[in-house]
Amino acid sequence: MSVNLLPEREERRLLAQRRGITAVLILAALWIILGTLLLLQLTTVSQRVDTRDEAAQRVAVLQAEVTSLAVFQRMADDARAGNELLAYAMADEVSWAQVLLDLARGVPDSASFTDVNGQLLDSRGGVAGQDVFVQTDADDIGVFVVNGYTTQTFTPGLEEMLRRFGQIDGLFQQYLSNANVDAIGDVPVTRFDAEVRMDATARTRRYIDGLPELGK
Amino acid sequence: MTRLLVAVVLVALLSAVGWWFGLQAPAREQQAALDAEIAELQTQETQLSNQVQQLRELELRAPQLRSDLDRLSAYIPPDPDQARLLELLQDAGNAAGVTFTALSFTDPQPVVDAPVAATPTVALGAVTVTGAIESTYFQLMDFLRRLEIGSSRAILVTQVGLTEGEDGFPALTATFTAQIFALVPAPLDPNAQPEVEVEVEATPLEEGAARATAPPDPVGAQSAPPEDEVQVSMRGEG
Repeated sequence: MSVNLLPEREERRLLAQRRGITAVLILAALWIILGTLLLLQLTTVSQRVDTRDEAAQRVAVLQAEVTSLAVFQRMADDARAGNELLAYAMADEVSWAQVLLDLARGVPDSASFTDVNGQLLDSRGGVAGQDVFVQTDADDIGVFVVNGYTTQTFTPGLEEMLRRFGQIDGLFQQYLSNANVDAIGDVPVTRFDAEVRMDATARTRRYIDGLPELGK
Repeated sequence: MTRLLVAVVLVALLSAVGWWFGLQAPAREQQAALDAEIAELQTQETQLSNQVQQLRELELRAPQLRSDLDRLSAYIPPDPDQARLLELLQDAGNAAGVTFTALSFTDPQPVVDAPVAATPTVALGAVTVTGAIESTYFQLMDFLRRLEIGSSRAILVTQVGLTEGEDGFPALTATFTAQIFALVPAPLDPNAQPEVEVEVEATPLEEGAARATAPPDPVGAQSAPPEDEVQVSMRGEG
């Protein structure tokens, strides 16, 4: 059994003192917790600042590298634009040499040309070809007008010539517009005016991607 | 006892509120802003890294690009460069054995609807060249073949005509029409606002100055007709 010998006033003072200390300790604990949380937060912020600075530095380095290499991008852009211009400019190119060769091969031995005139229709909307036998086919890219004579008569001379025109690659829709019997010296001939149209297979398409391959 | 408890709670509450709004929340906002900044920088870094990689690949291709640009500049030069064209035609003519009798050139005209050039102040222009040559049929074929394959200039032959030559078959007189290309000053935008001409009550001395407000003539609307041709004649060696 214990006996409290202190006066009651002293006991209340001690109790109040203990409560005051307890209150201060509670507040101190709270502030320590808050301070610790703040410290953690500030540490995190500090780490983020470092991360940001490092990232900014890397970006600055990359940006400088991009700037130093930009000349190659300009070169590539210039090449692309130049290729587009070249492709557009030469889109209509036809191998005239090949067409003339095929035309020569297609002429029967009995026939000769006195005039040949080939002309492209301009796909860019410019000058059109001769106003003859309008063909709205999309493949119609040009026309050959030929004048000549055959030492044979209408058949088989002109007939064979027209048939062989139709067999030449890149040419189609052969059309005889005029034929008449004549003579060169003592040799009877049949003179003719005809035309044949070129289709898209006559195009070289060499410039379809711009610069053609070297040697082609 | 109750007062102390209330005081402690009040102080704790005030401390927590002050801590939150005065210290913690700004720090969290700063962190959020930094996170956003870091994310943005990382995105930039990724994009720039890809860009650098592409540019490095272009750098490796630089010799090829330079070669392509040189060739493109030869195919479509920055001016009509008629001197080199004459050299090309003459070389092709000599090799094929044809003889030039005439050449004519129209003024350069911008090509309608052509793609945009690398430099916006210039545009694709075309010069129509008309030529007359004396040759045989197969010499002409050879000449045209050399223009198509052997020429380092973009030459678009659009018309070929053949007729019996003055000396009789197999000599032929051939004509050809071709387009050559060059970069020309870009036409002015027709939709651009014209300069406003201000009518001024002018004394005789001021009249000349008051009239000088007309917009410049665009290249595409030159007053000179395309038929303005320059005639030259040349003789081949073969």
